[in-house]
Amino acid sequence: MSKCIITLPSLTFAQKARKVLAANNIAVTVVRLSPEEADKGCGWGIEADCRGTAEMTRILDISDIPWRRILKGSL
Amino acid sequence: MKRVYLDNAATSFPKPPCVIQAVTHAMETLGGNPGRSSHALAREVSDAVFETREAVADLFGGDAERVVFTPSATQALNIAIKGLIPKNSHVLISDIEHNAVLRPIAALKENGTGYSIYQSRARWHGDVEPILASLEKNLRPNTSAIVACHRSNILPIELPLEAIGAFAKAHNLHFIVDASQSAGVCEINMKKAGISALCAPFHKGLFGIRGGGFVLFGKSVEASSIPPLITGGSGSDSQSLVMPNELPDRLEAGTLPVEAILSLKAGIAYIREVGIGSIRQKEETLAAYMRNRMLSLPSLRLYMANRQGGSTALFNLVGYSPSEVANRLDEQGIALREGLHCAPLAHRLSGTLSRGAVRASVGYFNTRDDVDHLIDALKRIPRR
Repeated sequence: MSKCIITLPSLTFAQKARKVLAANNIAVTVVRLSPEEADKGCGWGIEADCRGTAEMTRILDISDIPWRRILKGSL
Repeated sequence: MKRVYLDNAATSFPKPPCVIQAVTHAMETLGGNPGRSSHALAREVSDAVFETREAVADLFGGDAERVVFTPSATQALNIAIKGLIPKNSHVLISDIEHNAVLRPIAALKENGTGYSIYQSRARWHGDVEPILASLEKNLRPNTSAIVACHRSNILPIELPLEAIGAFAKAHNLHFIVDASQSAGVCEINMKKAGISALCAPFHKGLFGIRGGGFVLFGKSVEASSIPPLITGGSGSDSQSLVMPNELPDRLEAGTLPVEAILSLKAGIAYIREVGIGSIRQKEETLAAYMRNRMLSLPSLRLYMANRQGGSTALFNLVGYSPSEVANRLDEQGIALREGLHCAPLAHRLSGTLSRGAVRASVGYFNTRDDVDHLIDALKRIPRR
């Protein structure tokens, strides 16, 4: 299983994303991004099974959570 | 000597035991810096901060990411006022505003923005129409916002947020609310009242400790348009020389006051357990009892004596300055506050702007025995 990170603009949005996804039975982990991974330096994301990213981003979109991009194969 | 605390409008005291436990727990076990590091302690404290944002958002009908923590309600109001009100515009403020609103509004003059004062007086009779008429009368083509002090810090006046919010919405104005005296005591719903920015401190009706406040922005506010009052580290977008566009990071430079934030979380949990309605009823019943007992003192002048509601009593004693009265009461173990209470507009309403007055303000933990103690102490001050 490969893991992906969905990057988000703030820790608060990452925490909110975790909660919204948990309510949809999707478990993710909030992770701190390295400067290379984040768009403008330090940042935050949620890490999960790459197979679920399409469904996760769909849920984030309808929940008004502004995710930035998906980093693949981080683990 | 029995000590009686009747200065709850300044800061509530005592705090619920769960608040003290939350602060102690934070200091003993939550050693990390929220939003910065990624180790277990930092994660734990970050989650606790997020849960507090959720608690605030749930209490007031807002969104967690739109809760911006600040050092005080005053700073929250400064962010909202200076951030939402454009240059060369006009603002409507009520006639009971605290200096936390009045001074930032006055400072907007440098940017060409002026203000007019709308009247709350009619609300004393429970009718919102005269307030709306006063808003309409003072409205100008360049009016950009309405500011409302939800509850006066000295007088039994409470502004009708939903009616004012509807007026603001109808005229496409921002609606900024100072809930310093009402948060935790009055039901407030951001969406129902159409509030653009709700500002409050942790340490009054929300039972938190001193050192924190928040501004909760409504959905209608574009976060990236709000200029930060201060800039610095946010734990995000660190290669950029400007603050991030997103809330809350955009307006939260620097380390958050974790202990104060977690005290707020515990305070809100306590309010949820007791019920806002119960808190309000208890405080208003006790304040009514206090004002009624004061009316039996012939040398005491109670301002707006015919009004009910609120948690304060504003008074003077014939022949004494307000500070003399406060000092004499302090000698008898009574803590209350004299002067102008940073509320010159409200003192103008009560006719006490030049002289000042004494304010007794009850809180949820006061009792009739406390009020009786105050009345007995007042009786012991010799008549002049």
